[in-house]
Amino acid sequence: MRTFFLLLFALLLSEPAAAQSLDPRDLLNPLGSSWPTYNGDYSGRRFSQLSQITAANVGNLGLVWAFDSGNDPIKATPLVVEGVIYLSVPDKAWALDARTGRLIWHWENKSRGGTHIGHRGVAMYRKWLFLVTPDNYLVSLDAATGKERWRTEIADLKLDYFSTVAPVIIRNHVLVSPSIESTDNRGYLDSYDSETGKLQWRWNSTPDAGERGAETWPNDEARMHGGGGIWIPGTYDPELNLFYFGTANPQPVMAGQGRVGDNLWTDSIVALNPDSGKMVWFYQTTPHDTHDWDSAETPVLFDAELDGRKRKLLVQANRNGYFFVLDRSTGEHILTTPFAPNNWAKGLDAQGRPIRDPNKDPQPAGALVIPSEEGGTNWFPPSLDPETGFFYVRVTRSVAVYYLTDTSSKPEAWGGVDKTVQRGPSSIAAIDCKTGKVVWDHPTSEGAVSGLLTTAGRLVFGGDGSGNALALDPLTGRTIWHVNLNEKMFNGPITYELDHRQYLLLAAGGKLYAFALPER
Amino acid sequence: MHWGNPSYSIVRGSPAKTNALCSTIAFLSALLAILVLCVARLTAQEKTEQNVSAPKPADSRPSDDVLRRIYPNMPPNQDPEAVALGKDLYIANCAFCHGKEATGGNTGPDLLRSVLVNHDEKGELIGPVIRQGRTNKGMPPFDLPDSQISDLVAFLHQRNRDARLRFTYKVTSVAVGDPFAGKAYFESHCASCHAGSHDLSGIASKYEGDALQQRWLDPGGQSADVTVTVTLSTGLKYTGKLENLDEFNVSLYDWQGNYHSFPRNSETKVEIQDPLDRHRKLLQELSDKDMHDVTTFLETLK
Repeated sequence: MRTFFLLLFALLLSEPAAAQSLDPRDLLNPLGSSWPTYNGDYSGRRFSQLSQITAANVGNLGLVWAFDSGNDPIKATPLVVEGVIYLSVPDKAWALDARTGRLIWHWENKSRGGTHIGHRGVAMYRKWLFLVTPDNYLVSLDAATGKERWRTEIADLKLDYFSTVAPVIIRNHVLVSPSIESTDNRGYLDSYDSETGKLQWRWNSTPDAGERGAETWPNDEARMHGGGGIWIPGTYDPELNLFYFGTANPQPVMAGQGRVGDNLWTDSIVALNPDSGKMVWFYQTTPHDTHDWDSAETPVLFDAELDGRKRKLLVQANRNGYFFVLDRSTGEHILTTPFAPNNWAKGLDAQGRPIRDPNKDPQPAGALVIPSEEGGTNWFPPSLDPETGFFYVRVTRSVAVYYLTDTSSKPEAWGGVDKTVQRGPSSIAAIDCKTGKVVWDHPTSEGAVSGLLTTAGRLVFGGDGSGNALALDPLTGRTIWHVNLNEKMFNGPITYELDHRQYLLLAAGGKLYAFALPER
Repeated sequence: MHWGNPSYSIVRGSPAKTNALCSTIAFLSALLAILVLCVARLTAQEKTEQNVSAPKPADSRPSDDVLRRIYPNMPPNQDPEAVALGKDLYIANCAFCHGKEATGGNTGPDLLRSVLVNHDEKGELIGPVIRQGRTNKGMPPFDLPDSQISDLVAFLHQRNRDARLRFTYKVTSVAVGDPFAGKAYFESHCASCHAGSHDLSGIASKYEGDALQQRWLDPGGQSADVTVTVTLSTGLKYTGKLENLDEFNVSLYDWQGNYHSFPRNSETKVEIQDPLDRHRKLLQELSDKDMHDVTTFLETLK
């Protein structure tokens, strides 16, 4: 009898066999039936191997279920692991049955504040979830129950930092970083232990005194308050063991007179070793930014043969309107081409960096600048289809007047404002990664903000500004399918497979919709 | 549309409640959401995330409530009287070291970036530093009464708030061009439309400074009425105010206020008349000099 109770006790203590779990080694495989990270896999391509839904049958897609998360638009990319969807908006997370959309659990943060403007999603490691809150906590949840496991404060809320990024997990490193609002702070990237939540290392977005790059700042005060928040999840090459991410604008944002110089490592693509936190190379996409261009957009990893040589490449469509191709082993510059109209740069320097036209810096009486602060593109996740070799990106063509309002020798915070005078038109464009040329440009109704997805079914999925979800031909940009969900898509669509059925998961406003072909 | 599978379900995140209180809350939330969406200037990170569709005139300011919804940690507005008194006290006692704008001087640190000032709520941290000084760093103690400390604190928090909130930034002067060159540009580029009922006399009395510049560059505030005419294969025509135009459908309100929508296909002709088309084209070719000249000229049309 005693043995029986001991056995029963042991049984009660053991984990339920069905609990979802993600082995971090699974992330090294090409994207298949699940969608286990923000970008699906480490490459940032958002290209799925799934091919049940094709150009020939996409017209038969039907709605399987819908889930209403509330009023906040879904900007996060959900995860799908072993039949469960993990969805989040600022301060809230849900686990849903991927078959039916039924709620498994709901978690809510009791917030202390923080800017509630965006949230990219959760990350998973074994049976734990990780997400950040607007009030700067990194929180770990039990994926099976949504119960909180621990929380760690990653930034000072009183200094105006807030957090939106989806954590990236590399082995036991949980990589997160706060965003910077208007106060002149220093940006940084942290690595936390996935088990204990303890800080492993911190990489600062501006150099320490005496470090290489410190000479691009006029003084210590400017350098130590120089900005460079990191607010979009990065990508990872396991062979090179390099983590890639983009840093945001320098501070003060629009008044550059107090920070004369290139302002490294703001507006840069950075490669660092995730075990040590040491930077291996960087490439600055906008030296001395005065327009809030950032370099935060996803750096996408792609291999191709260039001039007879097989190259490991990194490509990025930058908010500043330029498309960059780098060698991701060394950071060597390969190509820069404009993909959206701009008038702020006079050309490219020897390293392919745009040369800023000082006349287009914010001026007291205004300077007319193309594009507006929204940029040629923005945070919306792009996609790269290795079968076409094309990079797909949301493009906006806007105009703004940039005013310098703080003309003092030491400006603070924004130091200026930009007033948009034209917001569109917008489109989805395909860029040939080898030449940097725009192959096709598909106009969409104005105000479109969706991310993009490509699949082996030879389709590009995205949304327009009128609430339509779209499927386009990856080679020509022709529309093959659409459905009007009446609210705009704010995140990147994803796909997964369950019971041998491919699902297309779209968000519109605060609602999530799962589409699939009819059951056979 | 292909909603092939007829048996779908909508699952809500929380149990649906339908009582009157909830409806009221929902309405108020929606109202707040609309107000939030109307804020035309947002964060460095993610202005686009708010999907601002209807910008307002350049001189409008969002209410404090709306700002606190977006930026819950923004220092609140301080009592203006205390701020004014605090400013005088600051200039007399602190500016010599901390700079006239509180952004730091040769010997004193920047007080807007100060961790201590940012952590302070109502003087509980700033007060003791003023009273005791930081003698090891060269700051002497100041023997000030509570009321004056409180005024200084109000000034610092207001200064911090104003620096953070670009909504409150003031554009100083936009009339820096040559009014005669502006007039010549206007006559060659604008006068063909802007005569008679569209003439701009008095515009400078209605709009000032950057609001005037914003107004003539973008007269519709991005939401000007666009006229659309849809001609069907039968020859039937519908004309009215464009409601939505995408690849698949076009919708409009006719001049009687009736709503119509049509699929876009080879049998449907859609013609758009955007009264601001010329303005949009101008933005692509306008030089900064022309912009300043025209604004300076328009400033004379009081």
